[in-house]
Amino acid sequence: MNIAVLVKQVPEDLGAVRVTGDHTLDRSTANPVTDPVGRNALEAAVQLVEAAGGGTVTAITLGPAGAKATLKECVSVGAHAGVHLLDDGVAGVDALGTARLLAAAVRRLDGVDLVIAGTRSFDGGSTAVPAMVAELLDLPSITAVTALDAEDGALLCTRVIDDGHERVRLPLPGVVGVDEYVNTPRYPSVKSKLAANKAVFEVLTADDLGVVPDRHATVLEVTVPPAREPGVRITGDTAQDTADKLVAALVGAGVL
Amino acid sequence: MDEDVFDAIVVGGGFAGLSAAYRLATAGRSVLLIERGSTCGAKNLTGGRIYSHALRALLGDRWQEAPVQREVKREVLALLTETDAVTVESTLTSAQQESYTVLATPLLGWLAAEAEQAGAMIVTGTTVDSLIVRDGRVCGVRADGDELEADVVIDCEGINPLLLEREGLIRRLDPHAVAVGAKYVYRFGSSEEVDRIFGVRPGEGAAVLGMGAVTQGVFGGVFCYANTDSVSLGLVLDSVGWKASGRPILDTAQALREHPALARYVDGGELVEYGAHLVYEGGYDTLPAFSGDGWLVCGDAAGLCLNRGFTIRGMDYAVLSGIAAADTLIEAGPGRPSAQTLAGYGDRLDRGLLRDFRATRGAHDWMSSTTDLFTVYPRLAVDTMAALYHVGPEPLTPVGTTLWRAARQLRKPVRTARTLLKGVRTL
Repeated sequence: MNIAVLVKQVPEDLGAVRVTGDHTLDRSTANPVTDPVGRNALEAAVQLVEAAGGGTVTAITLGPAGAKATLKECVSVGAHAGVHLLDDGVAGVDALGTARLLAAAVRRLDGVDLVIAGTRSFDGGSTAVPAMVAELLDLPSITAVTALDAEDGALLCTRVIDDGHERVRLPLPGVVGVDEYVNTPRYPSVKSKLAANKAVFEVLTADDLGVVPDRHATVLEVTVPPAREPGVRITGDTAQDTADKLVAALVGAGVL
Repeated sequence: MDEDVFDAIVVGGGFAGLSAAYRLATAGRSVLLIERGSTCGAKNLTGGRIYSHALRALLGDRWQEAPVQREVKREVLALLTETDAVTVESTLTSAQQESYTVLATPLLGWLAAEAEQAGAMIVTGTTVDSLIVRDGRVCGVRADGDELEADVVIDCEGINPLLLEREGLIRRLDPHAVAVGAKYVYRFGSSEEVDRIFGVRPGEGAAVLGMGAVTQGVFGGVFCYANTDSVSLGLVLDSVGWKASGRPILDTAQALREHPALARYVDGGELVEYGAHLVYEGGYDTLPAFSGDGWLVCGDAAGLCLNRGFTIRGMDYAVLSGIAAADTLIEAGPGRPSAQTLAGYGDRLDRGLLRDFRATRGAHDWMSSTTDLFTVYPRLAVDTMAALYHVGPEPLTPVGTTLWRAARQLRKPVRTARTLLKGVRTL
């Protein structure tokens, strides 16, 4: 079974991301890490290939030069190869542009049986990309998957719905979006990290993929959550005094 | 080469470890460096000033590409009381490329890239759990379930060398030998703003070292450095004196940020980082054995940090010790070096940086026992200057009277003179 995994780098702490004047995000102050749900996607792929007794896992990422660290991390926990879509011209591309680039990268791979991605990324969280990739590749797709079981030529996918679980059989090839409950990603060992250090990744531009990522979505506004009011510490000389002050404060705040 | 046996495994990707790894890799040795932070530099904290001679010794002319902040041209020594300060300012443009303010994380990230480029293998995000010891000889490390073998393990794990301590190969850290440091980094909108705050020419650096009221009589000092577009402000406190004072370090750190003579350097900046770290101040007589069978220890782990009050040096010694460790192995040639060969590392240090440590023997004890340095003398300096500059409705005070009053504040002038003389000798 040959699987392509779509995985990206995200800021470790969204609080460290700054909103700039033109509605884009300045991530330079945030520590980049591999998207947690992307690690679940990779683990799911590695488990399926291990269970199938053969095949390859190829990690595909779209991001700046530093995103190579994510490909290395993927190789250290079981990916066989990595593809880096590296193109300054597509920085800040929208969901459809991203999907077109990723779909083109998947198309270049031979005999892909399955594409796995995280359903909802830690940063953007639009949940749009996996389904768009499926549409562009003309493949069936299922997202929000919490468990995966391989069948002959198909995948039995479990998803959580409002009033219980739903099991869906996805004929392969297909596209699956997993969530963070699907598995517990393994940790790399020192030796697997060492091996990953030596890995060489294919680097592709939008040009190489023949994709012109024109913009379809326009961000009108980006706002940060308002800062929370600091709490109030109430102290008194005695327990009675403290209690009185507390009650007065609660009354003052309209709680009582 | 056996894939699984390295010439050397370096534990810790700080200044000492990366210097050793870079040097060994450059000489064609197989070296694996293991760092527990997600990147080299992620876990490091420095006050913020490096002396370039060490970088030059490691990198030759290429050191000039290192991402340092500003070249220090203005030195300020400040004596602080609660509200006032007397500062001695030196503008030293004759010193060329001698010292730079730095932020450890970007500098170490760069150095790690250099070491990898040179051929060192670097694994990050991995904590070494223990040393592999067979028949009294250190043969490698255990990390994340893997056993990795090497002819020599170079321990550069920082001030708390737990791996060596667990194996009983190094003395336990003595609280008397350790100070605690805390630091804030404030970012400003532009480098011009930092130029203006420190009153320096564009891009020039400044360093402020202060002592007095902020540490509330505890042996210690404060520092403030001009970075490219940020300012580092922090303090170093003797841990035993600090513990005895019973004061939360956060309170002391807050007093630091609010002191009028220091707040002027950070007002208007955005607090973007803060951290705390231990600082080794044990001095020459507390230094451990630098090597044993199959291992060497460098940098902070070896106690190679020197506080003279007006300079605090650790990073340059870390780099130099890393170089010395690597050169010891390179000179020994291939194969497993004997414990005796490794002892040559101590000899190298002895001929090199340890001269500084010998020359300042007793300085730490003198400073920590001379609490007047942090209370009486700053007060005296401030009162004297305040009296000299004071103008009010009352008749003026002759200069002679002011100085006489100041001198009388010193209860025992002869003893004070003796104490200070002793200090000058140890420093």
